[in-house]
Amino acid sequence: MKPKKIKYLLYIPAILLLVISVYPMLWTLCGAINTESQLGRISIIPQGVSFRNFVTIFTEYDFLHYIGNTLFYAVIVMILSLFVNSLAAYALARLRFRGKKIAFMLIMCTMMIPFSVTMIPLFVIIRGMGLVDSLMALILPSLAGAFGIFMLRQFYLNIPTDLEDAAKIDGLSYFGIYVKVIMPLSKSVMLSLGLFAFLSCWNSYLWPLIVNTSEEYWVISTGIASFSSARNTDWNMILTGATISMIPTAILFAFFQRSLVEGIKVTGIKG
Amino acid sequence: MLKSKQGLKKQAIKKPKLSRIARREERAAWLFLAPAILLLMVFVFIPMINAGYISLHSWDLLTDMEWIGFDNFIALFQDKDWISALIRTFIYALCYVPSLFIMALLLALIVKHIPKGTGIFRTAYFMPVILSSVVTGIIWKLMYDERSGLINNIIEGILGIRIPWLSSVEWAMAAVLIVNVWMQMGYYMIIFLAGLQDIPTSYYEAAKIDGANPWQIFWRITFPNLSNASLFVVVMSVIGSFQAYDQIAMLTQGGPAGSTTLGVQYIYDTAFGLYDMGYAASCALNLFVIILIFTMMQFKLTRGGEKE
Repeated sequence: MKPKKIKYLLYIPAILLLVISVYPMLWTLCGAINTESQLGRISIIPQGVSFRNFVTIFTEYDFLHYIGNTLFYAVIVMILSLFVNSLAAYALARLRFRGKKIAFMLIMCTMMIPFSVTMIPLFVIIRGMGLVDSLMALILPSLAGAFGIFMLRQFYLNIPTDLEDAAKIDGLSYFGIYVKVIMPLSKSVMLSLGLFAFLSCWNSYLWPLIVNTSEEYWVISTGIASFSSARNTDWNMILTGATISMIPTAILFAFFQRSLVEGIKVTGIKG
Repeated sequence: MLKSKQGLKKQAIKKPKLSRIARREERAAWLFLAPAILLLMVFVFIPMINAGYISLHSWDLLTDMEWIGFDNFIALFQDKDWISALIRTFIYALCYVPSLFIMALLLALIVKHIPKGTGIFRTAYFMPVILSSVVTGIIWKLMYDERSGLINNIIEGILGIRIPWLSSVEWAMAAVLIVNVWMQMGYYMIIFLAGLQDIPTSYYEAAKIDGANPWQIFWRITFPNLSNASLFVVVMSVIGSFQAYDQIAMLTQGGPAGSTTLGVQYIYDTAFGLYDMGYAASCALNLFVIILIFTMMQFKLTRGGEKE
């Protein structure tokens, strides 16, 4: 069988690309479990495994506090944004009302506005609300998102209306239909959207950096960045912090890879 | 009195009276939309309008704003640094979009055709997507290091030279580009994989019967049938390249000598380096118009994005 043998040649680029994709992460892990402070000596084969860096990061720095902040921020946004966005998406996909086209276009417009444009005035608004240096400053602007609304609307448009019609005949209110019919049907897409929301909060950097300068409200990424200052850079702490920040991401990814992938497909193909 | 009556009449003629059910539906719809629209108003639209307002002023964030009309915009088109930042952004997009496209398609084809281990390869290729830009930026910065970085160790082993990736004008842009393609290619791979899945296997079987070789199959069947996915990848990556910032800031902060200063970087530097908020806002709006043009093109090409 000639063609089959040719297929095995695919493993050469496949494995090369696999190494390129994964190596930086493995190397980070090695840097974290290594006590070598000189960067050049960190190799993928650890000379000696030690968890001293992990002890240091939690005792000498307030890293646990940063993790707590990030977790709170990400979980709250995950739950509330799903609620806000799916309600809006349900109205746009299913209910008839005047101004629907305009409402949809307005929401979609926000997708085109780059953060660089709104960043400065957003800071001014948050400052005006007295929310600078608080977790609310992180949470509030992340709740509503055109991306999520669009994705959910697209999903709802594709579910058959039979169940809703039956629910309507049974005298369920619109909110009742949303809770009892739409929500259970959209578990999968909600899960993938929730994961996206969690990950984007977990990884966010620039906005927390701008709005929360007080150490008490730092998140993981601002904490990691603080290990690198103009005067000296603590590589061990950076790599340890980076490793810790990758752990929940990797776990979520391991469990929910399929939902993430399905979510991307929904937005990509139907978009 | 008369006016209001006329108004009422007009309304009555224009919009036929809604039934009670229809009105209830309308009220529910707006109630459901209210939280999202309110949040988007306060945190996106008002800041957007505010950015327009700020751009007409000279403002350093601390003292009072000073109205200067369109001076910022006039200055913008004569500012060599801004124009070269925009040109650099275009060059970046011209390199980024095709490289990302080819890499993502290559990964998708590998995952699709590999005899065994589909899951492992797909997982590995997707991993960089979910990492934070801070973490990836820092890791790559360490790997690019001229004296002790891993990449130079490998290159020295093969070619006997060390490349000053991040500290030379010639290499910095390439270095930044590689990191961004590396980080995003897994995401677009998924889009291509979804596209590949939608191609009926009967097409391939027919081609095989006709005796087509893999090369012909790719160009005659696979590629043309991926047009939807391809379009999405191109448009999204164009928009993404105009907004590129995070990793570049981590890697080079726009340097050396401004060689990796793209549009967004220039805006940040103007805003938080020079505290020239008005000018930064006008640059941001200029960039927004460019992004808007590309987004409009997407909507045109996909017939409005509406599928009702």
